[in-house]
Amino acid sequence: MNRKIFNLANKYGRAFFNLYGAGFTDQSFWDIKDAAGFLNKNRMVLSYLECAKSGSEQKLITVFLQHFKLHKDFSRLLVLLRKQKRILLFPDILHCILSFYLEQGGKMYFDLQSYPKLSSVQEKPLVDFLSNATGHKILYRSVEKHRLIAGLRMQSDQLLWENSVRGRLRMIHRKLVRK
Amino acid sequence: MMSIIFGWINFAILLVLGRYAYKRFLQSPIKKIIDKEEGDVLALRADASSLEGHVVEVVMELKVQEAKAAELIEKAKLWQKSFEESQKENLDVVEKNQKTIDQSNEIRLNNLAVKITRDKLLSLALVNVKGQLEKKFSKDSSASDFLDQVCSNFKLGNKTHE
Repeated sequence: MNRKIFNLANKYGRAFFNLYGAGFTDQSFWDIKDAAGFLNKNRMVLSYLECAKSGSEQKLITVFLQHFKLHKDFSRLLVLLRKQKRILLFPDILHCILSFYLEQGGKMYFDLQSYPKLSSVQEKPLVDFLSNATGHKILYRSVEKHRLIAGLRMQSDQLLWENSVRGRLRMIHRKLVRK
Repeated sequence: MMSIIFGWINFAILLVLGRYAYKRFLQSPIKKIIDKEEGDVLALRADASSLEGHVVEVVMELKVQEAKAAELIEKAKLWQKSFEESQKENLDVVEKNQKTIDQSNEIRLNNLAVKITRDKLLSLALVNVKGQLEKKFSKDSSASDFLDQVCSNFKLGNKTHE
C-alpha cells in the first residue's frame, strides 16, 4: 500500500471506526481480518460489486456482507465507496479499521506459526510471554507451518520472535554465505 | 690688330664677370652643400666607428653567449642523462607495481572463485541439511520435543528470545 492510498484508506477507516467502532468485539476483529485477508488477495471480487447494476447493488452487498460475516454497517461504507469509485480501497480500509480496534483496546495481534501445531497448553505461556513483553492484550491465531521444519515463529506487524529450525538454517546461511 | 686686342679685352671682361657670377651665385650654395655632405660623411664615419665598436662588443657578447650555450648544452646533456636514468628507474618501479597489481588481481580472482565455489557448496550443503532435517523432524517426535523445548523457554521473565 503506497502512502497516498494508505492516507486515503486511513481517513475512511478512521471515520467508519469513529461511527461504528464502539460496537466491535474480538469476533468482529476476526471476521474483518478474514475478509481483509481474502479481499487483499482477490480484489477482483470487489470489481463485481463496482460493476453491479444500481438495482441489484444492495442485494449484492448484503450477500457479500453475509458471506464475509461482516456487520450490516459496512454496507454504508461499501455504498459510499462504490459511489465514489473507490471500492478497491475496501481491503485497505479494513486493515486500518483493524489497527484502530487494536489501538483502542490496547491489543496486539500475533500470528503464532509452529510445527507441529501448538496445543492450548503450549499456547498459554506464549501468550502470557507476549502480553508481558509488549504490555498489550494479545489476539492471536495459531497456524501449523510445515515450512518451519520444527519450532515456533510469533509475528505481529512490528515484532517477531522466532526459534525454528528453518530460522536457524536461515541464520547460518546468512552468516556463511551472505557475509 | 685692334679687334684682336678688344677680343682679348672682352674675353677678359667675360672671364671676370663669369668668375664674379660664379663666386656671387654658385660658390656659396655649392660650398654649403659640400659642407653639409662633409658633415654627413663625418657623422657617418662617427656612426661607422661607433658601429664598429658595437660590432666588437656584439662579437664579444656572442662569444660569451656561445660559451654559455655550450655550458648549457653540456648541462642539458647531463640533465637528459639523469632524466633518462630516473625515467628508467621509474619505469622499473611502475613495471614492478604493475606486476604486483597483476598478482594481487590474480589472487583476488582466485579468492573470489574460491568464495563462489564455497558459497555454492555451502548453499548445497544447507539444502541437503534442510532436507535431512525435514525428514528427521517429520518422522519421529523430534519436532514435538523441539517445540516443547522452545515453548518452555518462553516463560515469563525469560528474555533469551527477544
